[in-house]
Amino acid sequence: MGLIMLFVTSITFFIVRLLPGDPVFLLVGDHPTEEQIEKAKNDFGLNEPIYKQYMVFLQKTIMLDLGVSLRTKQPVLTELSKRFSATFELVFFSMIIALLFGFPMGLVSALNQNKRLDYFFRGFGYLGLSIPVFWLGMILQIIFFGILYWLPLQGRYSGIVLQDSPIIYNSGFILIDSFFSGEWGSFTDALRHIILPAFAMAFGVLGIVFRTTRSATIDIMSAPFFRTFKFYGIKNSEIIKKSGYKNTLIPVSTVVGLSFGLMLGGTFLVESIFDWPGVGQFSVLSILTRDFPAIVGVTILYSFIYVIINFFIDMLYIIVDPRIRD
Amino acid sequence: MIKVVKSFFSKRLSSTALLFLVGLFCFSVFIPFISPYSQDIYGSVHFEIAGQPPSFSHWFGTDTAGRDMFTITIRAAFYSLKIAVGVVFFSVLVGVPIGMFSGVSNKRTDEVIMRITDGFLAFPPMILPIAITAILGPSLNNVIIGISVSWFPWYVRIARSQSLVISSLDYVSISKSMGASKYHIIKTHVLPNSLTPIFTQASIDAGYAILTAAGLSFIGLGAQHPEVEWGLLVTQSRAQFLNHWWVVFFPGIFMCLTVVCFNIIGDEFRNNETVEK
Repeated sequence: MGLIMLFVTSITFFIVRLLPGDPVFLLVGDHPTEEQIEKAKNDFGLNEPIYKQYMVFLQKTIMLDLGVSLRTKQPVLTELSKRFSATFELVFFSMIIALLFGFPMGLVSALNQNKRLDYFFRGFGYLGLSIPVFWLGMILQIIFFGILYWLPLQGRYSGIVLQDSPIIYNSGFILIDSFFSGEWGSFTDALRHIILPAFAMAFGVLGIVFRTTRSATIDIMSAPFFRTFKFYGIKNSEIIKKSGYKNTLIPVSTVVGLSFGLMLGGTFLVESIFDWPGVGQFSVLSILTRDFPAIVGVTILYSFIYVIINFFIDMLYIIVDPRIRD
Repeated sequence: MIKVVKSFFSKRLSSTALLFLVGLFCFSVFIPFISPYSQDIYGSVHFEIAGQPPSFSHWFGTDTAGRDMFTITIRAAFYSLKIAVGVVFFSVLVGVPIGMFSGVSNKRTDEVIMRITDGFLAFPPMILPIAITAILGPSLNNVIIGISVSWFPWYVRIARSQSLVISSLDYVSISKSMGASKYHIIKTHVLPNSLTPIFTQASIDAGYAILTAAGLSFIGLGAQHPEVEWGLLVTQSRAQFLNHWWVVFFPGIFMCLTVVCFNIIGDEFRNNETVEK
């Protein structure tokens, strides 16, 4: 894991430095004066040889020093950690939705292979893989806000509701905090706000989870143990319910790990559509203002999270599958 | 490979998908000469007919500058498909030779190449294209470069695993023992036998390239005027989309259909792959 992180940091550094374009201009913004350029060069050590700069960059990244954002003049790490809980909440909520629907759909689809329900679910899964995330978000806004007025357009909570039932911030996750402080008004309000963005994010991953579960289940149904059970006269659905589903957990947890990457990428789009105050929205604003340290910071942060999640998923295999445990 | 292509055309679903893509491409090339609103492609404005819903004269309605949505949506297909083809082309061009070289090389070289590849794969999908286009500046070609850089490692992996499998086959080891060079083995044995999995991955990736490029456009890092692809088309109308559903709906539907078609083609290749074995 540490090695991969080292690679990630190195690749980021070399991409930034080896691509055409003077890094000074990325650091000082557009239309700098001569003095600004000189000062920036000295401040950021750009006059040093490249291997020295590389070492400094590595050292700083290990110490979690990601530089200062040009746009907000705050350390990038502070900015990111302030917004991290919102993104975390959204991503996990989406992943739960994707699993809650995708996994059972896959099992049902495999049990009814080549029947009407299977075709319907497969079409749905295809759609999930092919719909552009931001487009789905906009269509959901048009339907549920523009036409039906059922759900709020954007944001994480409504200020008015929060005034009526204030919540004690412990973790920064509004859903959890409001739930435990017993403020149901705030809780339902936060829930209503998260549904649309979470569903927009979940839809693609739902398709992936569905497809993996379906093909894994179909594979299992031809396994020797499955045929033995069937021979005893147990129904397919019973075998799946009792023991069969466990065999799908390994491939499913693998794609869940990989899908986190997809979702982290999706936060840029979904958060900026739904005005969700998270890391993704911050980065989009940074991109628009060419705030370079922030972009590099987000790149490294997201890659680290992705690596760490997949590391834990690898650990999860041991719990899920006793055969790996030796 | 010929067998694969033959069975490909005998299936109704996959040949329909291919027909749709080819038809869309041809249509997008010729639309400037056919459409009565062809000047809209180059950005002319007609405020007197702005924001009209779909009708007989404007099949997909008009946007807030009075441009005919049908014409510009079809034209945008050209640039989206250009991105798809470009990304796949560069990823294959870079990834496949590296992977095959890695597969037939000695253990240490192989190890080094694979570790570097893993490093690229450790980035979440959208992140590397964002970082690269942010540095290079937004344009259609930079989008192609950005996405290719983050996707070529997959082709390295596929090509490597194929060349490992194939170079352990009996007839290849015999050819090796008779003094065949690495280059010869790659050219005559490995490459022809790994085309199907590469095509599978390529056609699925072509669809996702369109989606990724559209996403980049949406956050302001994608193609720029006048190379309007579907993502930029949706983004342009972002401010008024709540009252004008058609300006976001139609480009999105086309994007969706195109990606579905690429997926169907990829799945067809994959099915043949298992049949072949």
